[in-house]
This record gives sequence, structure tokens and C-alpha cells, in this order.
Amino acid sequence: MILTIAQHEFLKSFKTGHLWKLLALCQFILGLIFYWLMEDFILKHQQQLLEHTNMPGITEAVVHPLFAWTALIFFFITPLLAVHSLTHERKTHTLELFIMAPLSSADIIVGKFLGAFLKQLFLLLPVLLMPLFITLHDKIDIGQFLSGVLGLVLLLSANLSLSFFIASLSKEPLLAMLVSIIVLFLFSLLEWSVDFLDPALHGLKEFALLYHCKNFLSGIIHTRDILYYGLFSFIFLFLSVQRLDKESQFKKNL
Amino acid sequence: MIDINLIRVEKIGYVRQPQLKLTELSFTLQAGECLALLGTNGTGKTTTLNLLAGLIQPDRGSIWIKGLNIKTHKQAAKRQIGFLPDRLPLYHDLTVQEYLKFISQLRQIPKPDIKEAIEYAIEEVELKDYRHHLIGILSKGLKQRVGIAQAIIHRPPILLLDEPTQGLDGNQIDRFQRLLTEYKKEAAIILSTHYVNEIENICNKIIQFSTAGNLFYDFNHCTT
Repeated sequence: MILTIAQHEFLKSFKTGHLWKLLALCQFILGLIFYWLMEDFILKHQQQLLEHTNMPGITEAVVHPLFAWTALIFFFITPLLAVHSLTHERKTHTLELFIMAPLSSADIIVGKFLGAFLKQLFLLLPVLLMPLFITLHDKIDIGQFLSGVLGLVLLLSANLSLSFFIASLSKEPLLAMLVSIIVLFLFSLLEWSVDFLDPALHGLKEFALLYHCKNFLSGIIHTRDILYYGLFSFIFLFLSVQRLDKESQFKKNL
Repeated sequence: MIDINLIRVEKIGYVRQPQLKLTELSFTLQAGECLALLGTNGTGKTTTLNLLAGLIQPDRGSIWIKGLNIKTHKQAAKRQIGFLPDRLPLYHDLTVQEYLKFISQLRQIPKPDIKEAIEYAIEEVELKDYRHHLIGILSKGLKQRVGIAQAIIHRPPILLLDEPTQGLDGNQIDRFQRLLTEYKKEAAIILSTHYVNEIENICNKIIQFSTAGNLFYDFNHCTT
């Protein structure tokens, strides 16, 4: 049943056309960033490129920042997908279809989460192709590239679960989206803001979303980072399930 | 002891707003019976249907669906219910057929039976000519028929309908009444409406909701 909901969630977006628009927007912005990074790289290392001596690491100079930008852009896209999946459906009363059906809250949330996650991967896929174009003329560090992809996928999963929880709390799509974006940024700013706090609180850095992605982008896969994203996703999905479960007890009408 | 009632409601209460106080509501319904919920807006008709559909939970009392307590056997109880809410839960970007296919999957109709279930629902509400139309472009009356189709697609023994005739014209209301009369033979129906003339030939029980208190009429026993 989870897969049926996920499939519906994923395919529905193609019908409405909103996923195509998001894809176009995402590609336009990240395409420009990729172009800018490549241009910058070529200008800086023109001489070395011509002489083919001391080739600087293109993965570190182009792929790494491209993925960092992608993570940032998805801070805006992920809440939109989560809100469309939950808050918008609540507003249009189609969420009632799921609640009326013989399904558990976990089935509904996990199904919808998987569907929205597939949408994220669909939007991410063309971005991943950009660095692969480099391989037509130059070599990239495949290990670092794959590690970066894994980091991005885990980060997007964590972002989505947090956005899902916020979306499950609200009836207003716009409000839910704005709050999600702000909370996602707050979770990321934690990394830098703790520097201004008491040294005893520097450990809070560990809770920052982007902090754990840095290792992946640099080509280092650390179990601690995988666990962080796994736990983060699980906790907020669990809270979303609890929220949907309790909803019928506290609300007059859904 | 076997409970022959399809629905048994025992002293349910639900209080959320000062104007909406549902207290001590009790009734039973068997197959072949139809209960009409009458009353002005805001007296608790929709809330009662939402409680029966399991969308909200009562503060006190209990609801039994085919002998199953809806609080403890939520999923099993929901399998027995078809519900048409007052605000239609429709996906405007899907065609009628796509929508009903998804609904039958949600209601966990076995895969080989899905096609037949869709045909049954489309046939019953006469949507044959509109099966490939996008729901978003349908008229209000046709959308209402799609809403009714999603409620009956899994042929539930209990049908809950919140103002089912809104948006339907005279002919469609006649056809809908015929559908209910036929459906009632093997099922229990609860519907809310503002118009007594729409239900007088179908319903044998009535609850009149009012702010002063609820009145229960059972025409089987000619008591009020």
C-alpha cells in the first residue's frame, strides 16, 4: 500500500505539471551556476589546461561547489514538495481520502514521503549529469563525486522529513512552506552561530544539517554522518506519523 | 453475543465549540435501514458523519461497526464504510477513471477486481460518457456523482452521505434515490440533508438535530 501511495504521489505531479516547472527552474539556476563555476575554473587555470601540466582538481573546484549550491537550492524546493504533499491535500480535502481508507497513519506518511523523495531524486538527476559532462574532456574524482551524491541524497531525505513534519502541523500551505524554509536554514546556521556562543555549546554544531554533508562533499564517508541523517529522517517522520494519528482527536474537521 | 446491527452508536459525545455540542447520541442501524440526519447548519450533522467515518474521535461513548469498536479496530471498521464528505475529496487533474482506479487501490480492492469495481461505480452513477474527462472540468453535479462513485466503489455495507444531493438536478435526484433504494437492500445508509422530501421514501429513521436537543424518530416502531 505504501508503494501505491508513493507511486500516486510521484505520478500525480507530472499530471499537474508542477514538477516539470520545478525541473525547468532548478535546471536553469543550477545550469547557470555550473556554467559560472566552469568559466571561473577555465579562466583561472587556462595556462595549465593548455600545457596539460599540474592539472588542478576539477572535482574540488567545480563539482564540490555545484553540490553545495544544489543543497542550498533544495532548501527552497523540498518544503514546496512536502507542503504540496500534505498541507495542500489537507486544504483541498483529498487527504481525507487517505484517512478514510483502511490505512495506518504510518502507511500514509511513509508512502507520501517516498513519493516526494522520488520527486526530489527526479529533480536531482539532471544536476548529477552536469559533472559527468566534464568527463568528456577531463577526469573527475569518481569517488568524491559518488560520495557527494550520497551526501546530497541523505541531506535531501533529512530536509524532507523535517518539512513533512512542519507540513503536517499546518492547514496553510504558504505558511507551512515559509516556516519549513526558515527552520531548515536555522538548522544549517546552527553550525556558524555556535561560534558566537559559549564554547561549552559548540557541540550543538553536530546538529547542523549542512555540517554533516561537508565530509561527503569532500569524498569522506563517515558512519557518524550516515547515522545522523538516518536518525534525523526517522525522528521527524515518526513525529509526522504521531501528528497525523492525533489529528482526529484534536481537530473538529480535518 | 452476535451483534446484528451494522452500526451501533452508544451515547457518543463531542464538544469542541460552544455552538457545537453533540451529547448522548445513541442509535442502531441494520442492513436495509436508512437513517436521515436533519437539521439546520451547525447542529452537528456533519460532525456525526465524520465521527462515524472515523475521521474524528468522540470525547465519550463508543461506535461499533459490524461489532468492531471503531476506536480499537479502526482499519477493519473503515473497510466496511463508504463515505461521501460534504467537501468533495477530488483530484481535479485526474480523469474520472484514473481517480476511481486510485480509490479502489486505496480501499484495497484486489487487483483482478479493480476493473469490475470501476465499471460498477461508473455504471451506478451514470458516468460512462465522462470516464475519460478530467474531473476539474466537470460540472458540480457530475463532480458530486464522482464523489458518490468513490463512496460505493468497494460496495461497503455501510454508506455515509453528507448532503449527497447538493448540486444534482431534479432528474439526477430521482436517479440517485433509485440508487439508494436499491443499495439499501443489503446495506445501512446514513445521510444528512436539509430537505425532508428527498428522504421520505427511503429513510425509516430520522434524527432531527437542533440546538435545543435531538429528536429521534423510528418509523419501524412508529415512535418518536
